[in-house]
Amino acid sequence: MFTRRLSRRVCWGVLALLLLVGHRIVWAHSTDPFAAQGSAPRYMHIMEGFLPPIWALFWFIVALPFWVIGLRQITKLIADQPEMRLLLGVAGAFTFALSALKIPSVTGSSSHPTGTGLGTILFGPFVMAVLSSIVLLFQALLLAHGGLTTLGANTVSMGIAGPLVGWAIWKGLHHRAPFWLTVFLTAALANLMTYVVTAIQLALAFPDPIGGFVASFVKFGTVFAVTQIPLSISEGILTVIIMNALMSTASHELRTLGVQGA
Amino acid sequence: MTVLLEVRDLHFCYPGSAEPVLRGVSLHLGAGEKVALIGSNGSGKSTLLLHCNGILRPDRGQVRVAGQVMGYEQQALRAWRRQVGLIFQYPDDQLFSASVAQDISFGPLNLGLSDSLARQRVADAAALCGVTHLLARPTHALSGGEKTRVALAGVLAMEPRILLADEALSTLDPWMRLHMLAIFERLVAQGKSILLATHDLHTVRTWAERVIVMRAGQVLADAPPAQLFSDPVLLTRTGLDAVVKGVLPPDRP
Amino acid sequence: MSQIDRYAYTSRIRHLDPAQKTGLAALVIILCLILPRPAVGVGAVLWMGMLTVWWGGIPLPVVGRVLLAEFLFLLLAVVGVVLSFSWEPPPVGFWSLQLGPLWISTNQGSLALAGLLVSRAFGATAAMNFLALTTPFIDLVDLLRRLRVSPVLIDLMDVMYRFVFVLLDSMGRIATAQQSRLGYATRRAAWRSSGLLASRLFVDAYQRSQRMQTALASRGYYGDLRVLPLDYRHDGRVYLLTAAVVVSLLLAGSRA
Repeated sequence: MFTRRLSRRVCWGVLALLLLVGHRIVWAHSTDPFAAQGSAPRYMHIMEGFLPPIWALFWFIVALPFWVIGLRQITKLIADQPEMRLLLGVAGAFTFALSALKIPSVTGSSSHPTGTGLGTILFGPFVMAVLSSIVLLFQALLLAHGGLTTLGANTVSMGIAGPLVGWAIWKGLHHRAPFWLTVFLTAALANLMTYVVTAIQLALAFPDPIGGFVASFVKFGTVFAVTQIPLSISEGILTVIIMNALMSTASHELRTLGVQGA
Repeated sequence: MTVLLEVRDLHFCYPGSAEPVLRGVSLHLGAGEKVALIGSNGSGKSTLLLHCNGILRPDRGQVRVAGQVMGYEQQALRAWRRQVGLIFQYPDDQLFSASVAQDISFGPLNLGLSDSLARQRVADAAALCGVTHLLARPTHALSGGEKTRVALAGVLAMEPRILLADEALSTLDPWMRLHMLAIFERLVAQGKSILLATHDLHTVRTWAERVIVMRAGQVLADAPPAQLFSDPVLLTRTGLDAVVKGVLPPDRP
Repeated sequence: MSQIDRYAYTSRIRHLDPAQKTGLAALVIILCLILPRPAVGVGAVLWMGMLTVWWGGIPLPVVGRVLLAEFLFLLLAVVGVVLSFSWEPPPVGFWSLQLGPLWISTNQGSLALAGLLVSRAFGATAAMNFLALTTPFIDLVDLLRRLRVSPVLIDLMDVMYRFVFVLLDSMGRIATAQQSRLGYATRRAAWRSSGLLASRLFVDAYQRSQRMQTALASRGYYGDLRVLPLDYRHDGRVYLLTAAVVVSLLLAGSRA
């Protein structure tokens, strides 16, 4: 109903201010590793109750075949080697613990990795889908992050799409690119994919009244980009550091777990 | 006195290692006996205990329980572990279920007992170890002493005749240690035998009826503590003379 | 992180059948999602908040803090729903603001949707938190077992639950040791320390699983797992309570 024109300068000034303030609101911690215990993971889970029931159901159905295949693989793994039961549990717990780790972010404050990049390299995407869902369940019930009705959607973004992209990159680049680059791209792009899919999920559920799905996707993508893009880069860097450390100190364990190139 | 556990001439080398860890170890444990096992780190104590529970298989030698040679097929191992229980040093390595009751019931259920019988075993073992009030707790929500007692209850729920304890008291404070030894007394009164690997010489002198000293994979002495600590020959052979005097021997780094 | 867990197993209604508590929470969440009025969400927050505090015995500040855990996501997502961006002036009926070449606008529909979303999200979250704060995780996993979810999955969840705390504990100790040696004094050191921490944790986790395997074998484990069913208190009054909540939410959702 009413419109106002502002000068260009003021616009950019406002935008810069918003980014700065947004940055500060988002990362209010210092690089203190202990703030991790009890602080909020800042990656994108759709919270409980946010998705309309049709969409919530839809994403559960999308996730279902991955769960079925993943569960079948896990059952077979454990049947063949009973020791895998503990190992998978430890891997899942490790993924969860990693998400509670505080890492310095490239923008200067700190954030938390999703941990699925490393897990995918070790276990493959289907098993990771199941483990991720359990991690998400833990996060919903032990950290009040994410949700139960949105478990399907969050699994598709964080447990399926992310790991699938990561796995594809890992398989594709593994012996063709320098190790550190492969690991970085696997983790960073897996993380980025998670955020992109979440933006798609939100855009599908809440299309823009003017621009429809596309405009909505751009909107949600932009709004969350401030936190997610630096986080992806941070996670990429962290995973490289971790993998390097593991290769030098734990190559035996990695080999036992079947990581090629160890 | 009936011999419940007997180890004859065990030789063992970890796969991939050149040095044998056990070089002809023999010992025996009678019903209702309290025996302490001491030796420096790397002397083979833990390896020996793992053999007594069938976790490791010797290259040479045999383990007998109640006179019978122990086999390593599934059924035989099951029967073995029904009679010989083993608890380890760090309770976090032994509590693997989400809740205390679930963890204690693990052993009885593996033995094939019915649900009601298993429940009874859980209740009895918990009462013996003083952890009945913790049954509904998650296993991570326990203090160190509570965890050790729960780990013990988990093994006792299988009602073994022999209890092997691999330095299970070393992480406990003095009062908790007394508490655990009191539980051991109750077990001994029931006719069970206890073999406790320990570094604590005070416990060895006051609690044990017999002491076995190991070094470099061999048994150097097997005698009651009073005898061991007063015999200069035994003290020198086992190297305990330096410990008793409090002076480092010149040849030990 | 252990906060919610600790409240769960010390809550006053801890021993109540998790099926009853889950049934109540599930019905509230479903009603929040399918009834199209914000009053439902508000009602759900009030009901669930009240029950968590008075029935469950959880302190009000805790309930409030947990409810706001996803505040940041909600804020950002609502901004995304409310605002529309375009390069041309928006159609009639929109309030708008122009920043340089960009038009930022909103309209009544978007605002109404945002209002509904906020109340719905808070309502459903309050119900989920009720469950999380008053029911121990092991009970919920046991409920899934009763619902005949795959035993492999149940076992995996139990093992993960057990290990999570052990690993977090380990992580805390390693971080303390690092910090005492200036591991986090500079940004570069913090990066290195985090990487070392995670890899050390990995090895620690792996070795734990190996040691645990030995302990498992020594108690006769051969691959198939049996678990004793847990016992709970079943309270008939909970059905009445559930009915009351459901009816009041339906009423809130239907009034014009």
